[in-house]
Amino acid sequence: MLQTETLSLARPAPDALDEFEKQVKIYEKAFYHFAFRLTGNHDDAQDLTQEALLKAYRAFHCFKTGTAFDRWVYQIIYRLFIDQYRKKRRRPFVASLDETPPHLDQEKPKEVPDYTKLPEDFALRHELGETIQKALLRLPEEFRAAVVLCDVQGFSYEEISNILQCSLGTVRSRIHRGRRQLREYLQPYLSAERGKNQ
Amino acid sequence: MNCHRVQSLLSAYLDQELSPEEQRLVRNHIFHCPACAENYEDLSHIKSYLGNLEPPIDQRDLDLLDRFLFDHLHAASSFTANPWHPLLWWKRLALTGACVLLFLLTAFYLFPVEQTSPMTLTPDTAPFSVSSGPPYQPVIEVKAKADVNFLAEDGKEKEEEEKKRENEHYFWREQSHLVKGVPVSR
Repeated sequence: MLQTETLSLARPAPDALDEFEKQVKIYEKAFYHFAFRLTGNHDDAQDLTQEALLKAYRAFHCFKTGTAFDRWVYQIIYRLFIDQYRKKRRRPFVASLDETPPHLDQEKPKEVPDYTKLPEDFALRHELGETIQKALLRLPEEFRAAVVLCDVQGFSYEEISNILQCSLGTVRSRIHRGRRQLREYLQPYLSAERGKNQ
Repeated sequence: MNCHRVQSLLSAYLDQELSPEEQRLVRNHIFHCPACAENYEDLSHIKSYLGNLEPPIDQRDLDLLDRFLFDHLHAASSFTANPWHPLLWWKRLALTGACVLLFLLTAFYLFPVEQTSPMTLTPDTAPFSVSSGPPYQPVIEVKAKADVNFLAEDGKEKEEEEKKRENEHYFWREQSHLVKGVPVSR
């Protein structure tokens, strides 16, 4: 379970900005990680995090003292993400110029040597990380958020139900169904693990 | 507890979110059922995969995020903190000025002062008869004109009286008892 800091902040604080900065500094990486796992790319994750933090700052006077700051911001990130996702779904698909077009998907990218880490280890990790991210992106966004909050961020079901504003039963079923879908997508890796153990 | 029920509880069992009694039942079932045990293994692998995911960020990105965010916030706070900031007043003044200008422009268009404007009625274009003079006159002007007329009439009467007196002086008084056409001896 994650340790979360609670604020001891007087409501009409003249140095609210300093306090806000301090809190953001603590959780910044975790917020970004959550946003990245939800969106699946750096640009969207940055936009999402920045927008959420700006929103959080503007509403900082409404923040209840004594409650966890990070959960509050997670909630904002999740809501923003759901809103953007719905907006995006209504818009037509826009192709990115940076990504490889579908017909070149099979082509190998130019390989640049990197000696900073053990190559095999790095390759394995990197590949698995990408595969997991792709599998995550195939989940419905509610399941994705619940699974990420539980397994990546390490929140308890009760905390997740606070963040996602739904009941404990809903959280439990979302996590369960999300993991089951992930199991289907990651079947090759899981069977390899099973072979390793036997 | 049957397999179906255990399958639905496996995820929560993995996260230790079940009651002690449920936990005990699920643990017993897994111990005896290889299918559910395999399922449990898979789920725990998935949990560990996700837990071991590296944060996707390198330092450069984080710095960028930081800088952008706090530039924004510091800039924003100087405005939002003080609603009586002089710059805000300038904006309000400018907005008011623009409104007044807009009102004047529309007013001139609606009530033109030039006779040549297409919106002015002329005898040619009017659907009804229009007097050529202005449609209104200041009260003082009307009064002044009336005074002048009165004086003029007065002057005419005086003139007539004078003429009459002259006639009486130079000509014979008209004899009303004389019949026209009958000669009179002087």
